[in-house]
Amino acid sequence: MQKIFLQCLYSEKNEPLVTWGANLITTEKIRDVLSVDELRESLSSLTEAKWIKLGRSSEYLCMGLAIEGKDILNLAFCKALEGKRKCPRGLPVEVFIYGAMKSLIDAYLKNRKRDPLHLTVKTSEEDDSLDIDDLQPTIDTPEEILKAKQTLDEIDQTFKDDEAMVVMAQLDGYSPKEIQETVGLTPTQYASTLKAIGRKLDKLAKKESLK
Amino acid sequence: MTADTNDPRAELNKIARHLADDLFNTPDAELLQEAAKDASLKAAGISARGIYQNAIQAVGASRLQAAREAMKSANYQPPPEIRRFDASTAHKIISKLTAANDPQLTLAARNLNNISDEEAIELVMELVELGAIDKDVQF
Repeated sequence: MQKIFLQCLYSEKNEPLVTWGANLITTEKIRDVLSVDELRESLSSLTEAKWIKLGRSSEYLCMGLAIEGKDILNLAFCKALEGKRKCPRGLPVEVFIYGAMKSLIDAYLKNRKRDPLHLTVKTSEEDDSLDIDDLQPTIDTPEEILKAKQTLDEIDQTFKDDEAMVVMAQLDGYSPKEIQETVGLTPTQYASTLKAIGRKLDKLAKKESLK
Repeated sequence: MTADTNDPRAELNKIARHLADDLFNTPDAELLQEAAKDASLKAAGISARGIYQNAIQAVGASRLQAAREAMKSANYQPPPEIRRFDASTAHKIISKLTAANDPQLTLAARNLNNISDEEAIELVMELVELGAIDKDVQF
């Protein structure tokens, strides 16, 4: 039997979420999420390492896109603080914000695919799809695609040996475990390789031709 | 992931996610050690914290604005539609009220049976506005 609290007993629409019978409590429908105040408190007490993770991951996620990491991170924070996105209780808040950024990037890529139509036609009512309208891409889609293509070409030329194989496997959609098995790397070697890739990508991202 | 595999942006995003996922799996202590050597990592953390502070302010400001607008619309009362009386009706009303020695009229008004048309109209309209007499009153 799961332990539940009084605050979990009702949904947002004030409908009872638990049913009682034979001393059993069914909790499947309970949506136990942090309130905005709780979320703000948790975010405000994040450690330096967590802030680094959020800052750097936002930069990574916008690699090759016409939006900046700080914009996607800001949007994720705003939607969470407005209560439009709920953080499940128990999930680390930095992971929640990271997940929100990934979801927003998915929506961004989806919307930009049908660009320029998306500027005038709303084909989806999904929250993410609406949220990303708050982002202002710095360049048009064709230029964005060209820039991403150039970055991929640079990556192709930059990485050799294990690094190249890891990148190839990533592009083929392999999981970290599969990549380690395929390339023949221990978890430590894999982690080092990823760090080396990250450093080289940081340098690439700073190249004027790819900005 | 919803992106198309032929789209170079989606391809790049795959690599980006592996790097970001790995970053999130890195132990905090190890990351702080790296940050001690790599200023850009430290800067990314400071920037993220600043973005969060800005987001708090932005959301707070927009909530305050929404609350102000809600209060404004809650407090807004359309001006009462006040019937325009003609001078003759206004004088009739005043005469009737003074004859009845109605306490709704001030002493000064009670002595003003001979006030001008404009003053009579103004007085009656003030009484209507104050709710002292019904705007639809018939005389």
